[in-house]
Amino acid sequence: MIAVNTRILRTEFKYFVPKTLREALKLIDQNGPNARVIAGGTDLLVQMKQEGISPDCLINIMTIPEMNFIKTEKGSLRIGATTKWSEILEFCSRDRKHAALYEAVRSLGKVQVRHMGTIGGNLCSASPAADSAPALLVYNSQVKLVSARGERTLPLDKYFKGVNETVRAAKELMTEIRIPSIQNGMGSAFKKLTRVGTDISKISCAVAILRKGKVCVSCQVAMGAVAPVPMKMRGAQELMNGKKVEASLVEEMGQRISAEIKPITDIRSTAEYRRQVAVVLFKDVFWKAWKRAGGEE
Amino acid sequence: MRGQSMEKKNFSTVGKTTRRKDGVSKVTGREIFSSDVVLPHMLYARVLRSPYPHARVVSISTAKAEAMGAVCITPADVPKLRYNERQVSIPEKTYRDRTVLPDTARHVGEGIAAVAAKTEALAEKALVQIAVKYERLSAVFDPFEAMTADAPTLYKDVLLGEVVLPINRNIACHREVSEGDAEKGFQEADLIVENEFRTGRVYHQQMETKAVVCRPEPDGGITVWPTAQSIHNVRQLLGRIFKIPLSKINVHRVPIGGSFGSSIQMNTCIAICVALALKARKPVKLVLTREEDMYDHCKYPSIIRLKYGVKRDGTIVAGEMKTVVDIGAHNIQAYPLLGCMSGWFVSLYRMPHLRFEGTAVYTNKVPACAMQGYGNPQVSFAVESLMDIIAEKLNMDPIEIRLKNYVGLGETFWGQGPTVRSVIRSCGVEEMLLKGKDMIGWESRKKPEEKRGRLRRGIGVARSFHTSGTGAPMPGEVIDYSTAMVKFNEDGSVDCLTALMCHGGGTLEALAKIVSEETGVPLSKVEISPADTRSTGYDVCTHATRGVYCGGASAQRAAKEAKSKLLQFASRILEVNPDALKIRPDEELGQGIVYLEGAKGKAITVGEVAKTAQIKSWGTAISVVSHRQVNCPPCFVTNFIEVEVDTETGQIRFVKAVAAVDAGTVINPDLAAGQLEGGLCRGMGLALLEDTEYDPKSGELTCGRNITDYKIFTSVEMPMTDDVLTFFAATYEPSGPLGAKGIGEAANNCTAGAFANAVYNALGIRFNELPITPEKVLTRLKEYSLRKRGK
Repeated sequence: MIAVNTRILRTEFKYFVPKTLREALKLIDQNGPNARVIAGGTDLLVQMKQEGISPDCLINIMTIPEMNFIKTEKGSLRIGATTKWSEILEFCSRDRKHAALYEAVRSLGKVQVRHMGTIGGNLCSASPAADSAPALLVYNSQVKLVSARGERTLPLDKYFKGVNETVRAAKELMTEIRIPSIQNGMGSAFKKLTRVGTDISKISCAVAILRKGKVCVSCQVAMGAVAPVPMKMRGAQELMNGKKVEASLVEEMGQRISAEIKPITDIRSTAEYRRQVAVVLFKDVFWKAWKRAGGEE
Repeated sequence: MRGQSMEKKNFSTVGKTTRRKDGVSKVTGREIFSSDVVLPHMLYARVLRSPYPHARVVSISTAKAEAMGAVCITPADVPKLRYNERQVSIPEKTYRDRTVLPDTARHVGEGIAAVAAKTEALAEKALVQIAVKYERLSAVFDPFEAMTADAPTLYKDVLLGEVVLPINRNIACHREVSEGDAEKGFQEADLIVENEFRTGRVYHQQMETKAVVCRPEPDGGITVWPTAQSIHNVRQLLGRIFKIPLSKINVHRVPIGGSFGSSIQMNTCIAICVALALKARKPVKLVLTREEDMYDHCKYPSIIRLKYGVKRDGTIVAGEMKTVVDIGAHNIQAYPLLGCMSGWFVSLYRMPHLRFEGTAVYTNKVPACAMQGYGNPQVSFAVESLMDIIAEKLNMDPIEIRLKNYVGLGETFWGQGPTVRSVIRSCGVEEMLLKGKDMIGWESRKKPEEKRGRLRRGIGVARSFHTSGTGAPMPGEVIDYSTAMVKFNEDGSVDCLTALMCHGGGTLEALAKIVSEETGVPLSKVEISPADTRSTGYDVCTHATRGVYCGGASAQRAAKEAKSKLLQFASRILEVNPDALKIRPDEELGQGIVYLEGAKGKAITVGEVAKTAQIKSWGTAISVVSHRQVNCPPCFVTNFIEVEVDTETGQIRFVKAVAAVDAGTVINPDLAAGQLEGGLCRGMGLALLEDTEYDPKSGELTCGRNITDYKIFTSVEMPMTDDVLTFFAATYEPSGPLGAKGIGEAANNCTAGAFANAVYNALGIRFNELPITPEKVLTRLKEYSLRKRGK
């Protein structure tokens, strides 16, 4: 692997710049399995330089206006797949309803990456450590996949399959992410642990809570970088749903999460460390979301 | 508070914050670095590197690459001379183990062939077409394993100077130093404390990867634009390797995008590029990728076994340090490193009886080379950790034990190992410890056992120093002198020409200020000339924190001599004895004014004097001086660090710092404060984050050969600006230019030790192995609480 060269791309490829979604879908359909869609390129270009991925054709979808939008519709939020992190960050900081998403996006890369990378790209790359995934999961978000033959919308929860693997077919294009409306009494938070300020997660956690007084009506928890896919913590969630919130119960949830996750040892951290800090990371995020749900923060 | 000094000195520009002369070109992107140099008909080079940690090259076929129009070189095409890329030691102490392209690769990433082509893309494509047949050899990655009888051997022999030196059990070199009688000393001690300390193989991660452009000349010579810290050493070594007279080799000084010591030696890519250019008969440019750069160099790691014997009152009576250094695949400067490590050990605290033993071991890893501090951060981490351990055992304040034992004024200091000794003539150790103590709030510092809760804060202190250059009264094992030319131009401005290099810290800026101060010409009219080896006298290298102290002294002397010539001319015009004349700067006029004190009318601008001398054909007021400093005074440094440890996640937050330096007269206060701050940041990296690890099967770096997974700290992890306090001790170094000593490397020498002591103060847990990662902290906390429960 010493032959890797991040200065220049060794491979040659065809390059298309479609202007409409229809045109893009046609190009995807026409080109073989070795064609790749490129949005911000913050993952794909790195893979092409470092991991020997050599597509014979790149289809740039950043020039399609109908894929770049943020809209609210009856309380729910629709985000076009090629919307950049910097645009989402700006929206969230004004809208202030999606604290977990805001915190996840803010933790993602630094200015340069946020001005290039897109939400759809993050979900299509499907890294277990994708920062937006846990936040989107706790909102029960959905993704819309479109191909020349039709379209489907499915819960994000059912979308991830494995490390860099999803249920998206090769000829499908992700066009949109939908976040259901945020109810009154709902609060969310996101936090990740990293080696340095600008870094991929060692472990990440998002929590969204629907609160009524001292009772947790429902609680959504998702963890990142602790399994082949960003995952919902269903077992732990059930412990809390409809219960009066007490420290001991939150602790129990944390322990349950620590047991449920399947972390590995890699360059960023160890399986043991991830399992150990999962408890405290969850608790920190839970209490933050809890306070927000109660309007205490 | 930032970079204040207690004493105000009477200088016109030295010690004042001024605008950097190279500032505009740097911030506007107009500075030309090696990688920016473009020449007509230039080819671009790429190097083929070994994928194996240890392999013999059986055959190389370049036919396909050549068919694509590429010029190729293999070990068969290059001179066979064994060389050492570092030229700072005297020849008989220089270990030579490498060639331009070796026929055996000894670490992953070692260059074994190279191509040059019309574009970098074509070169890259041609590179892939080179077919190499390797015979894989067993590799060794652990230094202790390497020293066993049945370990694979990297070298049968190397050259020491011109002598063939057999290598046994991969031991590259070994050094022992002793004074007094260590056995006796330890017997006299009331308390003996011993511990082992380890530091990592930190990657320099200088901003600019190494680069070079070489143009072959019609007369058989070459012109080179390299990334280098010494243009003269590059020239001399190229002359020897390629058998070209030095008068036909011109090496340009090119601004460098940071170094941290990574280009003290002539970078090996330079020789490869020259070989390609000579074969191609065209200019060739070679710019290393980040991953190649990561496989090119790293900091010397250390395993240090340290022992002190002390009296009940805290007086040290004996000390012993044994170190094993895993130098990787080449011995670049391990012998002087071991000497220096003994010197750092000996010069921190007084010991009547001492013993030092150092062993440098070859392994199949990236070759280690000097990096900011040259063994000093490693030694200081061990010594300063052990000082705190001793203080605790004796129930003493850590500051008290340091004040009691430090090597200070009038005492002997080893600036560059046992052969480079000088007497300390300026010392701000006490001032820095006492003032820093108040600034950090030392009195309110609690013991670890008094701390409760999830977030625990701790304060640690550590001190250190670095040598200012490697000068000494007698010639030692290290070469050290500088050459400078100063001349008065016909309009009263001044040119200063020297081969001295600036790594970005403002060394040449300091020289301009020293020359301005010495000549009396305003700083705005003093410029540092572009330099190359043909037009300058020798300068050893900008290393060893010597730029200002040694290079500055040569410029000061040249300025003094040129000024004396100018005053001779002025005396003919003013009809005054030249010894009675002085020069003062007039900022408004932009001129130095030559004047006779107390005599009205007896004044004339420097410009008028120089112009008159030219018109009347008296000559130019010019001087060239080669100067060796006969001292290498220590620039002392002290850090107080406050951290906050999250006992649930193991994360350590840098809360506050007091960083002080005794650099003598501070020439550029803002830049000096900046160096202290940078030292804190990089020292924190050594303490908490940085190391390179190897896959024991493939011999590859586990960080994926890229900065995506080799992290360094940035301003994000530093405390808020108001909580980074820096100050300068009020000292004046009698042997330094205008009282100055060095600062560069000192800035990070004690930081890791201060961090380790701060973490101990927070948790009551001692970390002897760096970096102190959150993973290690949690593991130790778990053990610690289990042990406590067990009791």
